[in-house]
Amino acid sequence: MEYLLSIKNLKIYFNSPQGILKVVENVNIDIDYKEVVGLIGETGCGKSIILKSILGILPKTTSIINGEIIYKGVNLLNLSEKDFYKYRGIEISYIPQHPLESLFPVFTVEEQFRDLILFRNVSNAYRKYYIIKNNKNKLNETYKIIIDWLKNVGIPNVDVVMKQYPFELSGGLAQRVLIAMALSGNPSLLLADEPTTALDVTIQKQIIDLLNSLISKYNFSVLFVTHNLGIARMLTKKIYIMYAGKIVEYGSTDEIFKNPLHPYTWGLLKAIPKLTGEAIKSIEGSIPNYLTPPPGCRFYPRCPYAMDICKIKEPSFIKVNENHYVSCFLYGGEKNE
Amino acid sequence: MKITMYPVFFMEVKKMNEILLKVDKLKVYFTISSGMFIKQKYFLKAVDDISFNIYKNEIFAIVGESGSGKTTVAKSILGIYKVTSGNIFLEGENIVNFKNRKLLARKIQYLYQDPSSSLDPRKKVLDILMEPILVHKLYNKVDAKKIIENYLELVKLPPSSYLNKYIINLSGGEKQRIAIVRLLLLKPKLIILDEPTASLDVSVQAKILELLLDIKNKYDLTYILITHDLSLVKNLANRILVLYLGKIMEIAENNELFLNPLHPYTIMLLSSIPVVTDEELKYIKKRIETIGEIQQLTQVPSGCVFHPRCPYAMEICKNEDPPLIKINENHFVKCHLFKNNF
Amino acid sequence: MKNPKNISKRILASFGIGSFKNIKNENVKLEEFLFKFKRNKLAIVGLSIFIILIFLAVFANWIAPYPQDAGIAVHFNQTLQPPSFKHIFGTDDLGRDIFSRILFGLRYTLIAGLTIPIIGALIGVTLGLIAGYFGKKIGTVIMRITDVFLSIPPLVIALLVISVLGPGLLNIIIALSIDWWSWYVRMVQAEVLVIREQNFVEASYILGSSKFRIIFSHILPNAIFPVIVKITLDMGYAILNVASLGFLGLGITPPTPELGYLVAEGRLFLPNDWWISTFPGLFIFLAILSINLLGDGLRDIFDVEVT
Repeated sequence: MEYLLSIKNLKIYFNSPQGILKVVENVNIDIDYKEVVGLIGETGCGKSIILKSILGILPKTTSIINGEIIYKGVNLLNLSEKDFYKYRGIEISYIPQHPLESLFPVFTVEEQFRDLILFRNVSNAYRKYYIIKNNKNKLNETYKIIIDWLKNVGIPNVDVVMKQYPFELSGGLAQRVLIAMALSGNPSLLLADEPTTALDVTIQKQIIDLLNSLISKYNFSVLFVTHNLGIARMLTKKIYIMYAGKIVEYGSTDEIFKNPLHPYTWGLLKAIPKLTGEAIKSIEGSIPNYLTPPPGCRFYPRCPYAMDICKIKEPSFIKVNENHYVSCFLYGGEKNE
Repeated sequence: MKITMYPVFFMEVKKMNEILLKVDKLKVYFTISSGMFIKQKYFLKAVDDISFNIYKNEIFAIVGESGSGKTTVAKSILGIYKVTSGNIFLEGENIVNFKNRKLLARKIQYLYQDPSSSLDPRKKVLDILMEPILVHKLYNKVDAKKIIENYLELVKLPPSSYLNKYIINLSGGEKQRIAIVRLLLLKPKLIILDEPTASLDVSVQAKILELLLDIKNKYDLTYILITHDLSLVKNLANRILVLYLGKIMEIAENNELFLNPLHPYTIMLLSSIPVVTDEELKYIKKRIETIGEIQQLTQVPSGCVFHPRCPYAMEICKNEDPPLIKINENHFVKCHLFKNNF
Repeated sequence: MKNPKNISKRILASFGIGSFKNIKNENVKLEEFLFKFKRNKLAIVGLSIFIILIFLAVFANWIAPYPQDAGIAVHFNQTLQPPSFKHIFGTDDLGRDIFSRILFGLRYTLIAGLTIPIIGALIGVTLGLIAGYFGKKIGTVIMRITDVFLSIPPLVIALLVISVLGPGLLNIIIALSIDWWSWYVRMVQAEVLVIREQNFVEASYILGSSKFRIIFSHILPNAIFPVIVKITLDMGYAILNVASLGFLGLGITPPTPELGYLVAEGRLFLPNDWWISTFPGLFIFLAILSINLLGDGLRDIFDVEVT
C-alpha cells in the first residue's frame, strides 16, 4: 500500500567546527492520505530538521542526508531545486512556529497573498512580473480567492485585515493568514512546525479547532510537530514520539495515550501539570550531546528502567499490536542475535 | 526515583499567616499624547482598579491572556512602571513609587519568562552571580565564592564546570536556574514568577518547578505566579486572580475556582486547556466555546470589558462596569450575572 | 593579588573579546576562533601586512639605510636618482633616500591613524552612552550638537583647528579627533536605545544596580561590537585624512617626512621622476588596505560570536 509520504531510514548529520553532529538517526515515518500525524519531541530532538529536510531547505554545505523521503512515489531527496518548485506550496505546504516573524513586514496581507498566488508556479517570474501584475482579470480572480480563503480560516473582518501590515496583526490572526496562504495551493500534505506554541491558550484552541475543520473539509494530510502532548491528542490520529533524533514509540493516538509503553513517554506524561492536581515529576538528566551520542539506546542515561543491554545495543521496534510499536528492551528484542 | 507530593495548603494559609503584600485600588495608566500641534492625551488603562492581598508563604497566581495586564501589575509592584493611583503595602509599608531601589531589591525579586533575554549573554556565570553581591556588598570575595558555589550545587549545576561558562553556551533550563540563583542571593521575601516555564521544554519545565517549590520551602518564600496555563495553576497555586484587560474578573481559592468557576472568562480559559488524560476532563466542570481575541488597550470595550466575547452578555453588560461580588469568603467575581443572587 | 594581566583579560572578556583568546576552560571557543579565522584568508593577509608595516615603523632607526635623510639633510650629488641598489626607492630632489623617509613617515601615519579613531571613539562612545541611556533633554542636546559636527566635513574642521593651533603631529590628531567623535555618538546612541529595552538591563535594575553599573557593565559591552569594527575601518580613513592634510601641506612642518607630504613633494616631478610620489603613495595604500582587511576579518569573527 502506497503512503502519501514515506520517510525511510532518514539520517541527517551536520558538519560543525567541533565535529559531526548526528542529529537524526534512522527515522521512519509513514503518513497516509488524509491522515493527521503528530511528531512529538522536545527542543533539540531533530523534529524541525526533519520538516526542513522534507521541504529540501537544509543548508547544503553543512548537512549530510541519507535515506529516502518518498512523496507520492518520488524521492524528494533526489530532486533538483528546480523540480522542487513544483512541490513547495503546491503539494507540500508549511506553517511555521512564529507567525508574526514569518510574514513580510513591509507588505500588507493582501499584497503578500496576491503575489504568492500569482507567482507560485511561474518559472522566470521576474520576466513576467509586470505582465502578470497588470492583468486585470487575473487580479480580480486572485482577490476573490484571497477573500474566500481568509473567510475560510475564520477571520472576522476580512476587508480590514487584508489591508493591514503584519505588525498590526495579533498572533492568532497572523497564524490564520499563514494557514490560508499555506492551504491556498491545495496541498496534499501540510507540515506544521509547532504552530501554536507562541500563542495564548485560548487562541491555541481556536487554531486547533480551525485546523480540524479545515482537515475534514479539504482532506489533506498533516504532519504536526509539537512538544505539547495535549495538543497532539486533540488533533492527531497517529503519533510518533521522538527522542534525541530517534523514534522511540509510535502508533495510533488512542493506543498510545491509553497504553504508553516507552519510559520516555511515561516521563513526558508525568512531567506535564494536570488538572487532577497530581504531582509532576521531571525526567532526570538532559538530552545527549550529538557529537558523541550514547552507543546503545539514546535514552539510556536518563532511563529509570535501564538494563545493561541498553548501554550496548540499540533496541529495535517491537510490535505490540497493529497500532502500536515501541523501541525498548523492556518489551523484548534482547534475545535476538 | 523519588515521588514527591506537594500538598497545597488552602484555607490554613489565610488564617495562620499575615498579609505580606496588600495591593489597594491599583491603577496604572499610560498616557499617550497624539497630534501634532494640539496634543490630545488619552490613557491606556493597563491596570484599572485592582485590589488583592497576598499572604505569607502562599503561591498567588495571576492568570489571563497576553495583554491582560498581568506583567504590568507585577512591574508596578516592583516600581518599574509609575503607579497612577492606589497603594501597595509591603509588610505594612507603602512602597508605591518607592525611590530606594536597593532596599526594594532585597524584598521583592522577579524571574523572567525568557532566561535568554534576562541574562546578559556576554557574561560568565560567575560575573552574573557576583553582580547582586557586589551591588549590595553582601559578602567579601572569599565568602561570596563559597556561597555562590553552594547555591549552584543547590540548583544542581556543579560549580566546577559552570562557574566559568558563558551564558551564551547554556541551555534554557540551565539559564533559568542561574537566573533563580541570582535572585536567591538577595534573600528576597517575595518572588514574582513571570511565566517561569513557558519558554522551556516539558521535561525541563518540571525540573524548574520542582526547584522552585524546593526553594520556597527552604527559604520561606512567597510567590506570585503569572501564567496562562491553568493546569499549572491547579497544581501550584493557593489562590488565583483572573485578569482581563486590566480588570479583575474573578478571584478565588484554588479548589473553589476549579469546582465552581463562575466568570465566563474563567470558564473560557478552562475550556481551552488541551488535556492529556481523559480523567482531567472531569475536572472541567463547565465549558463554553472559545471565541474571539483579546482587544488592544486602545480599544477597551465599554461597560464590562469582556462583553464582546461573552456568550451570556446582557444589555447592561455593554453599559455598566459590573461590581465585584462576594460569593463567599474565598470567592469574588465581577459579573452582572451574579448580582442578584448573593 | 590582583594581577594586571588578569584585569586586562577580565576587561576584554567583559567585552566578549577575551572569550576566545586564552581561557583554558573554553577550548571550544578557541577552536571556533581558529576555525573561522582560517576561513578568512584575507584577514590573515591584512594582518600580515599590518604587522610588517608596524615592524618597519618601530624599527625605522635600524632598518633605514640613511636615517639622517628623514631629517634635515641635503645631498646635491645624488638628487633625483631612480630606484637602484643603493637607494631602493630612489632619491628626491634634495638627494634624500626615499625609502628611509618613508620608514620614518610611516610612524606619523600609523600613530595618527591609530590614535585618532581611538580618541574619537572614547569621546563619542561616552557621549553616545549618556545620550542613549538618559535620553530626554540631555540626550537631545548631545544629539543636536553631534548633528552640527556631522554636517561639516572633517577636513574643513581640521583646517580650522590647524589654522588656530598651528602645524605639528599632535595638532593634526587633535584637529581630526574633534570631528571624528560625532559618528560614534550616533552609532552608540542607536545601539543603546535598543539594548536599554532588553530584559537583562531591566533585571539588573531590579537587582538594585546603580545606573553607572548598568551602563558600563551591561550596556557598553553589548553596544561596543559595531564600534570596534568601525574603529578598525576608521583607521584607514584617518590615515587617508592625515595624508590628505599632509598633501595640502597643512599640519606637517617640513622636513618631517609624513607620507602625504612626500606624495605632494613628488607631484612636481611627475611623470618623469615617478618614484618620489609613487612609493609613499603605495605605502599609504598598503596601510589602509591591510587595516581594512583586518577589520573585515575581525567583523566576521565577532559577528558569529555575537550570534
